[in-house]
Amino acid sequence: MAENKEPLVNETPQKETPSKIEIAPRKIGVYLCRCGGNISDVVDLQSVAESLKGENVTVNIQDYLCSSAGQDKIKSDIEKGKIDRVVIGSCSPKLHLETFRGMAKKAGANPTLLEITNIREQASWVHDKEGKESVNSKVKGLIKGAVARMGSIEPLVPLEKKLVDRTLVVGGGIAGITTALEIADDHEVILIEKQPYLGGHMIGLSKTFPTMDCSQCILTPKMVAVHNHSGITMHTQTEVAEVKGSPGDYSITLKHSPRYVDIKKCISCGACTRKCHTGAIFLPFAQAVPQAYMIDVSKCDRCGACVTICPRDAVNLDAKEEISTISVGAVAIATGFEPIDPSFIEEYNYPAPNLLTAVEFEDMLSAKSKTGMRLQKADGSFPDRVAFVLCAGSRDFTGKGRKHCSKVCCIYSQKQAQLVKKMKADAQAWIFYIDMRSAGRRFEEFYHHTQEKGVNYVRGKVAEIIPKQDGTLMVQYEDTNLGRKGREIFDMVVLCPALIPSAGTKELADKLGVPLGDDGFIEEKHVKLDPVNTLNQAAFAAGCVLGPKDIHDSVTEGMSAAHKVSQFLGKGMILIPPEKPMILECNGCGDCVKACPYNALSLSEGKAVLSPLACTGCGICVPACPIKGIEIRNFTRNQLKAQLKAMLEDAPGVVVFIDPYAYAAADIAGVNRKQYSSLVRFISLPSIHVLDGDVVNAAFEYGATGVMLIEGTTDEKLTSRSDDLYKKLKKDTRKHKKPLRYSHIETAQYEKLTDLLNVFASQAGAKAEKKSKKEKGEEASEEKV
Amino acid sequence: MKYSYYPGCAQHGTAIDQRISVEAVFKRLGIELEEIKNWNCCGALHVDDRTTRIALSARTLAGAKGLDIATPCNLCYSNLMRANTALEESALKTMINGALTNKYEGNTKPKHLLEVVVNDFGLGKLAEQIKKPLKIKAVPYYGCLLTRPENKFDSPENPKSLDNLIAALGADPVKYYYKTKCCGGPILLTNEDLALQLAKDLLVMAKETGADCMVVTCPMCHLQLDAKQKAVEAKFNMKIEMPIIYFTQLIGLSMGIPPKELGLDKHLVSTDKFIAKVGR
Repeated sequence: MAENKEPLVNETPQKETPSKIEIAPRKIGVYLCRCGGNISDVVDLQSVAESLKGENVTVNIQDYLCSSAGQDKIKSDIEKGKIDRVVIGSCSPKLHLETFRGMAKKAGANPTLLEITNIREQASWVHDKEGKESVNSKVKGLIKGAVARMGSIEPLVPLEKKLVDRTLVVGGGIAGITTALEIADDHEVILIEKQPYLGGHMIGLSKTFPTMDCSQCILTPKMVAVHNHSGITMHTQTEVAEVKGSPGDYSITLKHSPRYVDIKKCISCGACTRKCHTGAIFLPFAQAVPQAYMIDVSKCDRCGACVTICPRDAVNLDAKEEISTISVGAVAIATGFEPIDPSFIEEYNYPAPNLLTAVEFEDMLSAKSKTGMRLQKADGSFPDRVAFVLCAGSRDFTGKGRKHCSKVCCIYSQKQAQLVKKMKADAQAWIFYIDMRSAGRRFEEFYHHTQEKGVNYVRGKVAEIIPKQDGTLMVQYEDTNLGRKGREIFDMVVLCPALIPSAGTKELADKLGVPLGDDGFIEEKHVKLDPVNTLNQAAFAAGCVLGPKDIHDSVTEGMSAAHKVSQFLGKGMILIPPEKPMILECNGCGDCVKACPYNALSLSEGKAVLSPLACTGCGICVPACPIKGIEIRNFTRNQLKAQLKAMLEDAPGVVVFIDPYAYAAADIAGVNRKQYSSLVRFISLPSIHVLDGDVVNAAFEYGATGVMLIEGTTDEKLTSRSDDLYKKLKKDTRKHKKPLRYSHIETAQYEKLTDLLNVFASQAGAKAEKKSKKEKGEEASEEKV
Repeated sequence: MKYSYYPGCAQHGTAIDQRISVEAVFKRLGIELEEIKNWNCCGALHVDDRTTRIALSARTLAGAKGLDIATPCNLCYSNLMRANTALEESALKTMINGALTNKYEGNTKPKHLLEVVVNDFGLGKLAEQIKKPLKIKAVPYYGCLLTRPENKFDSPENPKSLDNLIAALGADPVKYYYKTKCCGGPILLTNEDLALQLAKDLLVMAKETGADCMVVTCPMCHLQLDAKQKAVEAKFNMKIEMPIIYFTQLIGLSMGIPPKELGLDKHLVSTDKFIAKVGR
């Protein structure tokens, strides 16, 4: 088998590294997946297989590689000793890499010696409008590159780190409450909530569809259970300020806003409220958990009456914001939603008297009610004619509102209409809708039932809402069923606003390295199969932070997330990717120690030493070392060069070095079938900071017409250095006079990514053409378009 | 500041009051308006054929000789804007230029006089010219064509520029939800019933706000709301008596220009009470 070595490692001599010595004879198997036509309809896999003839590898094509038949084929090939390294050409590694590696491990191979080349999201799904030739040539290049890489990498064993057996649940709404309660019997939980009380939006609801039972009746026992559970520490008025550490071992700083009343001391006797002459001290509402008064400082004149009267000394007017630090292994994000502010819809003229959002309508009838649970107009009387306007700011593709459907509005507006009819039988309730979406168990029946109650449905979008001087509102609309325009006067109009991620979602997600979708909600690890996991293995999500949903679904997700957290913590250990720096040569200069943003390197007896558990594998130390003595395992300069050379050998292309977060954006582009140039060849790196002039120069030498660095991480420790990296690389690769570009693309920005790729590919192509014309004269250039 | 000026037909007919006030105010503000020689009608809303309509405006645009072109009329403004956008298409421009003696090079930008005052001159500078802050409540009424089709000047649904101008003059711009509703002017001759109904909606809503006057930016709106106000009152059997004031007249009053020099004596709805309230 030793003859495999030569063609794969290529002429670039490998530095004397331990990896070279350890390399066993390679028997590489290449497995290509048709994906039931998803790939093979666009890519001619047979010709890809044929192109590997000279490579001394075994090639196999399967209909569905992820099926048991597909996996069994690889497994038996490993078990029979036919192969010991695997290159798979299939869908994104984000989907099935773990599955395949698990299989390889069972079969007796080292899992790190199985890698996936993404020929679906990054080829067949995004180049299907281009000629087959160019897509085939791209896939051939990618697979050849992957084979060369597989031949050069070393078997690694993941590192193990002990987990902290404690979870932080962020958000005390129904999703967070459920998650916390479900985890807390087995693992310690810290639950934090931004508001002064638990319950989230659900405690602000009146009746709940489709059963019409009262929201607080079903929620209050759960809030009390959280309060009483010995395994849950609860902090209200608390937010995450800072996240340090790594998955499984986080040190998180919490910021507690002052309540001015000590929750532990307050017995909610109410003596303070009776003494307060400004109404500044109050109990948020009767059932509030924690049961403790609080002070609205904007109303307080610091007279001190409450301090004196309190029998328990619970009031402290000088309370300050406090900071505390906790240590947790996992984080569950349940930060929920907020309604969009509909004032941007100018033709609706919100806010105006008697023009409310559905959330304000609910508030009036809920436990938090300020009207004694009475539905009333600004003047205190009951509204006899109420209109509900759906899709206020959602399902809007004009760029002003949000594209997504807020999912719950169709049903809750009907519930609200029923409540109006129940409170006053001869009152009128109108629902203006685009489509009545009542999918889900018991919802169509609910729709039917609401119709029977005499609610008036108008299919058509409301054009404008005009507040009149007398407090009524004129609604102009189009009735698309009757094909005519109409105009009605109402006593009250309820807007059903788009539900959007609550304020601060992005900041929290960034701190945890969790990507968001372009709608601002958290991106699931897999949209269907991993719905409560995120791309951070220690961060989980539940409820409306994953998209608008009802109570039932939020509870389901809370339970799922709790299960996933327990499963994660139950292992006691976390596996850390073994792709860490190896220090091959050291003159003790300490440059790498200074460069490392995570304090993972130190000098000991004049040599650099690595603490692997602190290291994130970002690779900043690689270019920092002046004697090129540091390499990242399995991303060494020579390994990258070997991959580049093989990838570009037969056809030139644009090389795009991409980190895992931006890689996820490319996957989303694939799922959305966003087309871009098939000249683009991604090379996946743990971070773009492992690169130096050596590697980029090699890419140009092997025929890259341009090189892009695309970074998606939101870790400022890395992004703050990207500009310097780019400038340095630009300088070091100047001699090639070929385009080099850096871009920051967050996971959600897949459209920006494809636009950039297209622009860059065409610029690089044009430049290459010009250059070749110059060099080779007219005849040669004609073929090279 | 110098603009090429396109007054439009109304300035020589029904909107003589606006013309007088524009001349008085812009002279004092030091904004030079150079009338385009031999200009023609913009076609208003009555020329159906798109090419003809664009050609009418193209001839005017060419007459601006590269200066920004200012106009006091919403119809003219809307037509010039639409034509200017359409003429970005080179095939159409070539075709229309073929019929023009003076070719249009695509080098001018149409501006309504309101835009000239609010954006180019600036409300800060205008405030320095105010001798007499107006202690009145005024309805800001923009009309349907000033911000439509959507342009960069102001929002098509809820414009703010006239509100801001009224506030800068010391007056109180009332909340008015019919800011951009049609006054009915263009259909006055073809469907008088509907035209008067539309005008009535505007006037009643304006009356309800308790404002002292309604401020307009367009001679067509003024014609409809001022000259036809009596007809509305008769048809719907109601008293409205709402003075309809051009924004230029309002600026003039705040600058202390005598009402007569602003054409305020030429209105059909009496402005006497209004002028008395502003104070002499």
